Amino acid sequence: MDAEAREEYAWLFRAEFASVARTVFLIVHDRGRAEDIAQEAFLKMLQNWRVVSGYERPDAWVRRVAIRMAVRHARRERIRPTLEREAAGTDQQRLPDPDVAQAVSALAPMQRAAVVLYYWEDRPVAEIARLLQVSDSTIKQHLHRARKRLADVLSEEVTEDVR
Amino acid sequence: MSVERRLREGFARNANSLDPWTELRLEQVLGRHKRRVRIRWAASVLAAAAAITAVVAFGPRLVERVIGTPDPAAPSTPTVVQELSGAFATIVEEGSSVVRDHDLAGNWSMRLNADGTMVVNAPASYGGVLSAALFEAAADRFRTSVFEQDLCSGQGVGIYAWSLADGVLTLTPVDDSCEGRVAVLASSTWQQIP
Repeated sequence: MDAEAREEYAWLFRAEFASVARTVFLIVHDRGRAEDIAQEAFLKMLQNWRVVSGYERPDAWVRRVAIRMAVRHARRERIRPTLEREAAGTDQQRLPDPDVAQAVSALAPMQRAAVVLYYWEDRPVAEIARLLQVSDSTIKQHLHRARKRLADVLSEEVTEDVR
Repeated sequence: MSVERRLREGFARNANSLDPWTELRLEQVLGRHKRRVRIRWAASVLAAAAAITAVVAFGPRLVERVIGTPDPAAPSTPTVVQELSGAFATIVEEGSSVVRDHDLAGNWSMRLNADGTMVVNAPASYGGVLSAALFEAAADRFRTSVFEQDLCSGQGVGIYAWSLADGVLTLTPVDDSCEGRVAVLASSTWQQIP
Protein backbone atom coordinates (compact mmCIF):
# COMPACT_ATOMS: atom_id res chain seq x y z
CA MET A 1 0.00 0.00 0.00
CA ASP A 2 1.56 3.29 -1.02
CA ALA A 3 1.49 6.48 1.06
CA GLU A 4 -1.29 8.04 -0.97
CA ALA A 5 -3.57 5.02 -0.64
CA ARG A 6 -2.81 4.82 3.07
CA GLU A 7 -3.71 8.46 3.50
CA GLU A 8 -6.93 8.00 1.57
CA TYR A 9 -7.86 4.98 3.69
CA ALA A 10 -7.02 6.79 6.93
CA TRP A 11 -9.15 9.73 5.87
CA LEU A 12 -12.15 7.48 5.24
CA PHE A 13 -11.56 5.65 8.51
CA ARG A 14 -11.52 8.90 10.50
CA ALA A 15 -14.62 10.15 8.73
CA GLU A 16 -16.73 7.01 9.06
CA PHE A 17 -15.54 4.80 11.90
CA ALA A 18 -17.51 6.43 14.73
CA SER A 19 -20.69 6.57 12.67
CA VAL A 20 -20.44 2.90 11.64
CA ALA A 21 -19.64 1.87 15.23
CA ARG A 22 -22.70 3.78 16.53
CA THR A 23 -25.06 2.05 14.11
CA VAL A 24 -23.59 -1.32 15.05
CA PHE A 25 -23.89 -0.37 18.72
CA LEU A 26 -27.64 0.22 18.35
CA ILE A 27 -27.95 -3.32 16.99
CA VAL A 28 -25.67 -5.20 19.41
CA HIS A 29 -25.93 -2.97 22.53
CA ASP A 30 -22.37 -3.66 23.60
CA ARG A 31 -19.83 -0.86 23.24
CA GLY A 32 -16.72 -3.00 23.03
CA ARG A 33 -18.29 -5.49 20.66
CA ALA A 34 -19.67 -2.70 18.45
CA GLU A 35 -16.23 -1.13 18.09
CA ASP A 36 -14.66 -4.55 17.44
CA ILE A 37 -17.20 -5.33 14.71
CA ALA A 38 -16.71 -1.93 13.09
CA GLN A 39 -12.94 -2.39 13.30
CA GLU A 40 -13.18 -5.83 11.70
CA ALA A 41 -15.25 -4.39 8.85
CA PHE A 42 -12.65 -1.65 8.28
CA LEU A 43 -9.88 -4.27 8.32
CA LYS A 44 -11.74 -6.20 5.60
CA MET A 45 -11.95 -2.97 3.65
CA LEU A 46 -8.22 -2.42 4.00
CA GLN A 47 -7.52 -5.97 2.81
CA ASN A 48 -9.66 -5.28 -0.25
CA TRP A 49 -8.64 -1.64 -0.61
CA ARG A 50 -7.41 -1.96 -4.17
CA VAL A 51 -10.90 -3.00 -5.27
CA VAL A 52 -13.07 -1.13 -2.74
CA SER A 53 -11.32 2.20 -3.23
CA GLY A 54 -12.48 2.08 -6.85
CA TYR A 55 -16.13 1.88 -5.80
CA GLU A 56 -18.27 4.98 -5.97
CA ARG A 57 -19.09 4.70 -2.24
CA PRO A 58 -16.44 2.76 -0.28
CA ASP A 59 -18.11 4.03 2.90
CA ALA A 60 -21.34 2.25 1.93
CA TRP A 61 -19.37 -0.97 1.39
CA VAL A 62 -17.81 -0.94 4.86
CA ARG A 63 -21.12 0.01 6.47
CA ARG A 64 -22.86 -2.89 4.75
CA VAL A 65 -20.20 -5.35 5.89
CA ALA A 66 -20.38 -4.06 9.47
CA ILE A 67 -24.18 -4.19 9.63
CA ARG A 68 -24.27 -7.75 8.31
CA MET A 69 -21.65 -8.76 10.85
CA ALA A 70 -23.72 -7.08 13.57
CA VAL A 71 -26.84 -8.99 12.54
CA ARG A 72 -24.90 -12.25 12.59
CA HIS A 73 -23.53 -11.40 16.03
CA ALA A 74 -27.05 -10.58 17.28
CA ARG A 75 -28.30 -13.93 15.99
CA ARG A 76 -25.51 -15.79 17.78
CA GLU A 77 -26.19 -13.86 20.98
CA ARG A 78 -29.87 -14.70 20.78
CA ILE A 79 -29.22 -18.43 20.86
CA ARG A 80 -26.79 -18.20 23.76
CA PRO A 81 -28.40 -19.36 27.01
CA THR A 82 -29.98 -16.47 28.96
CA LEU A 83 -27.88 -17.03 32.09
CA GLU A 84 -24.67 -16.97 30.10
CA ARG A 85 -25.77 -13.73 28.42
CA GLU A 86 -26.68 -12.11 31.71
CA ALA A 87 -23.35 -13.10 33.21
CA ALA A 88 -21.53 -11.53 30.27
CA GLY A 89 -23.61 -8.35 30.77
CA THR A 90 -24.52 -5.64 28.27
CA ASP A 91 -24.49 -1.85 28.28
CA GLN A 92 -28.26 -1.49 28.10
CA GLN A 93 -28.82 -0.26 31.65
CA ARG A 94 -26.04 2.29 31.43
CA LEU A 95 -27.46 3.97 28.32
CA PRO A 96 -29.20 7.39 28.31
CA ASP A 97 -32.39 5.67 27.11
CA PRO A 98 -32.28 2.12 28.49
CA ASP A 99 -35.99 1.51 27.78
CA VAL A 100 -35.56 1.98 24.04
CA ALA A 101 -32.41 -0.19 24.07
CA GLN A 102 -34.15 -2.94 26.00
CA ALA A 103 -37.26 -2.86 23.83
CA VAL A 104 -35.20 -2.99 20.63
CA SER A 105 -32.95 -5.78 21.88
CA ALA A 106 -36.04 -7.96 22.41
CA LEU A 107 -36.72 -7.85 18.65
CA ALA A 108 -35.44 -10.48 16.21
CA PRO A 109 -32.03 -9.43 14.80
CA MET A 110 -33.35 -8.61 11.30
CA GLN A 111 -36.17 -6.50 12.76
CA ARG A 112 -33.65 -4.79 14.99
CA ALA A 113 -31.41 -3.93 12.06
CA ALA A 114 -34.37 -2.75 9.97
CA VAL A 115 -35.61 -0.47 12.75
CA VAL A 116 -32.14 0.99 13.38
CA LEU A 117 -31.51 1.64 9.69
CA TYR A 118 -34.95 3.18 9.22
CA TYR A 119 -35.17 5.39 12.29
CA TRP A 120 -31.51 6.10 13.03
CA GLU A 121 -29.88 6.13 9.61
CA ASP A 122 -33.06 7.36 7.91
CA ARG A 123 -32.67 4.96 5.01
CA PRO A 124 -35.57 4.18 2.66
CA VAL A 125 -37.08 0.69 2.63
CA ALA A 126 -35.57 -0.25 -0.74
CA GLU A 127 -32.05 0.54 0.46
CA ILE A 128 -32.52 -1.39 3.71
CA ALA A 129 -33.80 -4.34 1.68
CA ARG A 130 -30.70 -4.29 -0.54
CA LEU A 131 -28.43 -3.96 2.46
CA LEU A 132 -29.99 -6.88 4.33
CA GLN A 133 -30.47 -8.94 1.15
CA VAL A 134 -34.22 -9.39 1.48
CA SER A 135 -37.23 -8.04 -0.43
CA ASP A 136 -38.87 -4.64 0.13
CA SER A 137 -42.03 -6.33 1.40
CA THR A 138 -40.04 -8.31 3.98
CA ILE A 139 -38.57 -5.06 5.32
CA LYS A 140 -42.00 -3.42 5.43
CA GLN A 141 -43.30 -6.41 7.34
CA HIS A 142 -40.35 -6.29 9.76
CA LEU A 143 -40.92 -2.58 10.35
CA HIS A 144 -44.65 -2.98 10.78
CA ARG A 145 -44.30 -5.78 13.33
CA ALA A 146 -41.40 -4.13 15.12
CA ARG A 147 -43.22 -0.80 15.52
CA LYS A 148 -46.33 -2.49 16.83
CA ARG A 149 -44.30 -4.42 19.37
CA LEU A 150 -42.19 -1.41 20.36
CA ALA A 151 -45.29 0.74 20.76
CA ASP A 152 -46.74 -1.86 23.14
CA VAL A 153 -43.55 -2.22 25.16
CA LEU A 154 -42.83 1.51 25.31
CA SER A 155 -46.51 2.44 25.76
CA GLU A 156 -46.41 4.84 22.83
CA GLU A 157 -48.59 5.31 19.75
CA VAL A 158 -47.99 4.21 16.16
CA THR A 159 -48.72 7.08 13.80
CA GLU A 160 -46.32 6.97 10.86
CA ASP A 161 -46.32 4.70 7.82
CA VAL A 162 -43.21 3.30 6.12
CA ARG A 163 -42.01 4.90 2.88
CA MET B 1 -45.54 10.66 22.10
CA SER B 2 -45.48 8.57 18.93
CA VAL B 3 -43.31 5.47 18.96
CA GLU B 4 -41.48 6.78 15.87
CA ARG B 5 -40.40 9.95 17.63
CA ARG B 6 -39.51 8.02 20.77
CA LEU B 7 -37.29 5.70 18.71
CA ARG B 8 -35.58 8.52 16.82
CA GLU B 9 -34.83 10.40 20.04
CA GLY B 10 -33.83 7.27 21.96
CA PHE B 11 -31.53 6.08 19.17
CA ALA B 12 -29.88 9.48 18.92
CA ARG B 13 -29.22 9.65 22.67
CA ASN B 14 -27.96 6.07 22.91
CA ALA B 15 -25.83 6.24 19.75
CA ASN B 16 -24.18 9.48 20.77
CA SER B 17 -23.18 7.96 24.10
CA LEU B 18 -20.64 5.90 22.17
CA ASP B 19 -17.50 7.88 21.54
CA PRO B 20 -14.92 5.49 20.12
CA TRP B 21 -11.21 6.20 20.21
CA THR B 22 -10.89 6.37 16.44
CA GLU B 23 -7.14 7.04 16.25
CA LEU B 24 -6.35 4.02 18.41
CA ARG B 25 -8.64 1.79 16.34
CA LEU B 26 -7.05 3.08 13.13
CA GLU B 27 -3.57 2.29 14.45
CA GLN B 28 -4.73 -1.21 15.41
CA VAL B 29 -6.21 -1.86 11.96
CA LEU B 30 -3.09 -0.63 10.17
CA GLY B 31 -0.90 -2.70 12.51
CA ARG B 32 -2.91 -5.88 11.98
CA HIS B 33 -2.87 -5.39 8.23
CA LYS B 34 0.88 -4.82 8.25
CA ARG B 35 1.44 -8.02 10.27
CA ARG B 36 -0.71 -10.00 7.83
CA VAL B 37 1.19 -8.66 4.86
CA ARG B 38 4.50 -9.52 6.56
CA ILE B 39 3.33 -13.05 7.34
CA ARG B 40 2.20 -13.53 3.75
CA TRP B 41 5.50 -12.16 2.49
CA ALA B 42 7.49 -14.41 4.85
CA ALA B 43 5.45 -17.42 3.73
CA SER B 44 6.19 -16.63 0.08
CA VAL B 45 9.90 -16.25 0.82
CA LEU B 46 9.93 -19.56 2.70
CA ALA B 47 8.08 -21.30 -0.12
CA ALA B 48 10.50 -19.91 -2.68
CA ALA B 49 13.48 -20.91 -0.52
CA ALA B 50 12.07 -24.42 -0.11
CA ALA B 51 11.57 -24.71 -3.86
CA ILE B 52 15.14 -23.56 -4.58
CA THR B 53 16.51 -25.97 -1.96
CA ALA B 54 14.57 -28.83 -3.52
CA VAL B 55 15.88 -28.01 -6.99
CA VAL B 56 19.46 -27.71 -5.76
CA ALA B 57 19.28 -30.82 -3.59
CA PHE B 58 17.47 -33.19 -5.88
CA GLY B 59 18.43 -31.93 -9.29
CA PRO B 60 16.67 -31.85 -12.61
CA ARG B 61 15.06 -35.24 -12.09
CA LEU B 62 12.81 -33.83 -9.40
CA VAL B 63 11.98 -30.82 -11.51
CA GLU B 64 10.94 -33.13 -14.30
CA ARG B 65 8.72 -35.11 -11.97
CA VAL B 66 7.13 -32.01 -10.46
CA ILE B 67 6.36 -30.58 -13.86
CA GLY B 68 4.97 -33.89 -14.94
CA THR B 69 2.66 -34.15 -11.92
CA PRO B 70 -0.88 -32.88 -12.48
CA ASP B 71 -1.42 -29.64 -10.58
CA PRO B 72 -4.68 -29.62 -8.59
CA ALA B 73 -4.95 -25.92 -9.20
CA ALA B 74 -4.22 -26.21 -12.89
CA PRO B 75 -5.72 -23.55 -15.11
CA SER B 76 -9.18 -24.11 -16.44
CA THR B 77 -9.86 -26.22 -19.45
CA PRO B 78 -12.31 -24.26 -21.61
CA THR B 79 -14.34 -27.33 -22.54
CA VAL B 80 -14.71 -28.32 -18.88
CA VAL B 81 -15.86 -24.83 -17.93
CA GLN B 82 -18.38 -25.00 -20.79
CA GLU B 83 -19.61 -28.34 -19.54
CA LEU B 84 -20.09 -27.00 -16.03
CA SER B 85 -21.69 -23.72 -16.97
CA GLY B 86 -25.31 -23.42 -15.93
CA ALA B 87 -27.45 -22.85 -12.88
CA PHE B 88 -27.59 -25.18 -9.90
CA ALA B 89 -29.50 -25.26 -6.64
CA THR B 90 -29.08 -27.01 -3.33
CA ILE B 91 -30.49 -27.02 0.18
CA VAL B 92 -28.14 -26.69 3.12
CA GLU B 93 -29.66 -28.42 6.11
CA GLU B 94 -29.51 -26.97 9.61
CA GLY B 95 -27.32 -29.32 11.62
CA SER B 96 -23.63 -28.68 12.01
CA SER B 97 -22.38 -25.85 14.20
CA VAL B 98 -20.75 -24.06 11.26
CA VAL B 99 -24.14 -23.93 9.49
CA ARG B 100 -25.82 -22.55 12.61
CA ASP B 101 -23.05 -20.06 13.44
CA HIS B 102 -23.10 -18.50 9.99
CA ASP B 103 -26.84 -18.88 9.23
CA LEU B 104 -26.08 -21.00 6.18
CA ALA B 105 -29.17 -23.21 6.27
CA GLY B 106 -31.65 -22.79 3.45
CA ASN B 107 -31.93 -22.69 -0.33
CA TRP B 108 -28.79 -21.75 -2.26
CA SER B 109 -28.35 -21.37 -5.96
CA MET B 110 -25.36 -20.57 -8.13
CA ARG B 111 -24.75 -19.79 -11.76
CA LEU B 112 -21.45 -20.90 -13.25
CA ASN B 113 -20.68 -18.81 -16.30
CA ALA B 114 -18.57 -19.84 -19.27
CA ASP B 115 -16.23 -16.89 -18.61
CA GLY B 116 -15.17 -18.36 -15.26
CA THR B 117 -17.30 -16.10 -13.07
CA MET B 118 -19.88 -17.43 -10.67
CA VAL B 119 -22.83 -15.77 -9.01
CA VAL B 120 -24.20 -17.20 -5.79
CA ASN B 121 -27.61 -16.49 -4.29
CA ALA B 122 -27.97 -17.12 -0.58
CA PRO B 123 -31.02 -17.76 1.58
CA ALA B 124 -32.45 -14.57 3.12
CA SER B 125 -31.21 -15.55 6.57
CA TYR B 126 -27.55 -15.44 5.46
CA GLY B 127 -26.11 -12.06 6.34
CA GLY B 128 -22.65 -12.35 4.80
CA VAL B 129 -21.18 -10.53 1.86
CA LEU B 130 -21.69 -12.19 -1.52
CA SER B 131 -19.62 -10.51 -4.16
CA ALA B 132 -18.80 -11.85 -7.59
CA ALA B 133 -16.51 -14.86 -7.43
CA LEU B 134 -14.32 -16.77 -9.84
CA PHE B 135 -13.97 -20.46 -10.51
CA GLU B 136 -11.63 -22.65 -12.49
CA ALA B 137 -12.33 -26.18 -13.58
CA ALA B 138 -10.16 -28.90 -15.01
CA ALA B 139 -10.93 -32.55 -15.65
CA ASP B 140 -10.94 -33.51 -11.99
CA ARG B 141 -10.67 -30.28 -10.06
CA PHE B 142 -12.93 -27.33 -9.33
CA ARG B 143 -11.32 -24.31 -7.68
CA THR B 144 -13.20 -21.25 -6.45
CA SER B 145 -12.73 -18.00 -4.58
CA VAL B 146 -16.38 -17.76 -3.52
CA PHE B 147 -16.98 -16.34 0.00
CA GLU B 148 -13.43 -14.97 0.10
CA GLN B 149 -14.76 -11.49 0.95
CA ASP B 150 -16.44 -12.45 4.19
CA LEU B 151 -17.21 -15.99 5.32
CA CYS B 152 -13.82 -17.33 4.18
CA SER B 153 -11.83 -14.13 4.55
CA GLY B 154 -8.09 -14.83 4.63
CA GLN B 155 -8.58 -18.55 3.97
CA GLY B 156 -7.76 -18.57 0.29
CA VAL B 157 -9.48 -20.55 -2.40
CA GLY B 158 -11.18 -23.92 -2.07
CA ILE B 159 -10.31 -26.91 -4.23
CA TYR B 160 -12.90 -29.61 -4.91
CA ALA B 161 -13.24 -32.74 -6.96
CA TRP B 162 -16.36 -32.60 -9.11
CA SER B 163 -18.69 -34.80 -11.06
CA LEU B 164 -21.73 -33.95 -13.13
CA ALA B 165 -24.14 -36.71 -14.08
CA ASP B 166 -27.84 -36.56 -14.97
CA GLY B 167 -28.05 -32.91 -13.97
CA VAL B 168 -26.57 -33.52 -10.52
CA LEU B 169 -23.35 -31.74 -9.64
CA THR B 170 -21.34 -33.22 -6.78
CA LEU B 171 -18.47 -31.29 -5.21
CA THR B 172 -16.13 -33.11 -2.86
CA PRO B 173 -13.62 -31.10 -0.84
CA VAL B 174 -9.96 -31.76 -1.69
CA ASP B 175 -8.34 -28.77 -0.04
CA ASP B 176 -10.42 -26.10 1.62
CA SER B 177 -9.72 -24.69 5.07
CA CYS B 178 -12.99 -22.73 5.11
CA GLU B 179 -15.61 -24.88 6.83
CA GLY B 180 -18.47 -22.57 5.86
CA ARG B 181 -17.65 -22.87 2.15
CA VAL B 182 -17.40 -26.65 2.46
CA ALA B 183 -20.80 -26.71 4.19
CA VAL B 184 -22.43 -24.76 1.35
CA LEU B 185 -20.68 -26.35 -1.60
CA ALA B 186 -20.31 -29.93 -0.50
CA SER B 187 -22.83 -30.82 2.21
CA SER B 188 -25.26 -31.99 -0.46
CA THR B 189 -25.45 -32.29 -4.22
CA TRP B 190 -26.47 -29.49 -6.60
CA GLN B 191 -29.43 -29.98 -8.95
CA GLN B 192 -29.16 -28.36 -12.34
CA ILE B 193 -31.96 -25.86 -12.81
CA PRO B 194 -33.17 -24.08 -15.95
